[in-house]
Amino acid sequence: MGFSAIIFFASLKMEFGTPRDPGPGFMPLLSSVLLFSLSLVVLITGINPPVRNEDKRSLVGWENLKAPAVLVIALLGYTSLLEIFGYLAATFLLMFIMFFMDEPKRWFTSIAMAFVLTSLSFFVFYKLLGVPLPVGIFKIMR
Amino acid sequence: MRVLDFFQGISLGFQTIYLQPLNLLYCFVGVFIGTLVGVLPGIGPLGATAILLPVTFHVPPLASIIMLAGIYYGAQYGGSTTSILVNIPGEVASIVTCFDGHQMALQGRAGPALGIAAFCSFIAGTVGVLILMVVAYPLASLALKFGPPEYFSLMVLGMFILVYLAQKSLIKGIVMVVVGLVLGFVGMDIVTGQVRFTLNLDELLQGLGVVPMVIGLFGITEVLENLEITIKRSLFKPHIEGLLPSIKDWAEAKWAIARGTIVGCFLGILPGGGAVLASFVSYTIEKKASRHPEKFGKGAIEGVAGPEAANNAAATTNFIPLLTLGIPTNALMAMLFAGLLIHGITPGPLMLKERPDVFWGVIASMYTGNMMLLVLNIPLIWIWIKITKIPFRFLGPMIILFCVIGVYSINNSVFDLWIMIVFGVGGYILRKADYEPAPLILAHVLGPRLEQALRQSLLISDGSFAIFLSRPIALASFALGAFLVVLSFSRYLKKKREMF
Repeated sequence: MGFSAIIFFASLKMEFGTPRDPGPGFMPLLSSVLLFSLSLVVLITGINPPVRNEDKRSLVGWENLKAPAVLVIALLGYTSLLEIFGYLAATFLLMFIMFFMDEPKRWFTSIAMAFVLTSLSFFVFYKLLGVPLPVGIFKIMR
Repeated sequence: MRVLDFFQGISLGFQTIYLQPLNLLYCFVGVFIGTLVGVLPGIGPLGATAILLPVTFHVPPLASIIMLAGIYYGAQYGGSTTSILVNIPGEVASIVTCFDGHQMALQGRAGPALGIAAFCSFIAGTVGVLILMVVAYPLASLALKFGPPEYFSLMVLGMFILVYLAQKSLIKGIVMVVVGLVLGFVGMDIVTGQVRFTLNLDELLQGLGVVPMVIGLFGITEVLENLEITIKRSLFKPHIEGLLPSIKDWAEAKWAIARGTIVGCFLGILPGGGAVLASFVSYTIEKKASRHPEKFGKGAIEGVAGPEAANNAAATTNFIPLLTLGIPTNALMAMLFAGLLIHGITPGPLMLKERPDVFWGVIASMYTGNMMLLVLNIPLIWIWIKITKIPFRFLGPMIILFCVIGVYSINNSVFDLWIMIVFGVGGYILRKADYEPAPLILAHVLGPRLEQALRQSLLISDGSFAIFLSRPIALASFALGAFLVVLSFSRYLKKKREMF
């Protein structure tokens, strides 16, 4: 509903036009009104969801969020650091976090797997396929 | 279309494939990856296509669509392998194959199950290609007579059908369509050039990139979901003796193959239709048509043959609306549509005239791809059995790696990675809340064309919406859409009454 409100008010600043000659604000405005209405329906119907006595889990199912949350934070960090540290360093860290997350006790294996995957991908995509990847602090790899 | 034109086209298609080894190679790569993706739970053909889409920008357009198409119909073959052996569907359309396929494996009949699945897929896929060839020209000729009102109504109908077939809530499906449309408005307005919803960011002047969006929604979201759950695999160790079905198996399966092929071919053409729907409908039909419905769920070979034929036939005829009308009918077709546009090719009726090499090349590649898949899935089944044992803790990082490389390589822009992450997290939350992302992608890809068609229609009619009622095709499309809305609403009311 918030999203549709934002679109609605932004659309008001554009020319709506007429049915004979619709302007750039025509479709966005109508879409935002439709979206708001539908969201209201979803909200109202969601206020009294069907209750199943035997189902005591959260309706949304937010269990086991730790691993996805860690990955999202790792991806955010990765994106921030990619062009500073370069593909090799940033990707190694990301891969290490993913392997480490799965088996925290086997940190040496995680380092080795991260190293292998990062190097292999760099070789295949950067060297063989010529995909431009940020080199960052490893300018000597060029 | 003259018969001579038809054979000339076929000849051109096969020449394009066989005289250009690169196309043959990409066909093989596509079906190989498709089978791999079908075998591996955790990433489906949508995710694989999304991730590999940027890779195809660096190759010629025909090779690009050949590979992406191969991934789609290849995944239908591969998905049945894990369904039968491990009771885990490699991709959604293979869920149904689990019901009877795995039971056959437990009864020591894994070989015939795998064999019949592969042969059915081949037969149905080949029939699907034949239909594609025969129907394409007449449909394209008809489409040349379409104007903006017809295109607008067909696109709206396509989205309606996709939403109607949404597994969960109709209203939530429509919400996703509208959100997709709104996201399609970001960037410069086609008609006036006015900048819309760019938040003053130069990177958004060309709109929200569809590739980072789809990779986020289908690649990153898949990994996030898989990290949350641990897939428990069956401990059953398959003993496979012989992959050729017996004469008795063929006798039992023949009508299921025929019915599945027809169902798949028909449902694949419909906007919103696809392999998933076709496989479920086929299973239902086989159970109803069988003299021994009690055998279903306990190893009935018809329960494998029918759905496998249906999903492969649908995966092939899905291309008809895309190639002939220029209207993608599901999220994967929308990605292929976007991929072709990036290559400067506009799918549609004019493509047959302007780029017959692309059209006929794709058709020839499907024949070739189906034959390659038969070889990959019968004699080389052992490779796939080994691959089913790869744990997700190795696959997950590899998928993430492909996602980031694929997205970054489009524009060498970190901004695209931010888009990918936003949609990855957004897609994860949406799935938790029972919103399906497929309608969003379809609407996002079709949105600009939909808006253009609407505005052109209103210009033609001098502002009157009656133009959509005065054109027969437009009227029929809207009538069908309205019927589906009424049908969904009555289904909803029925559910409510049953609850009380």
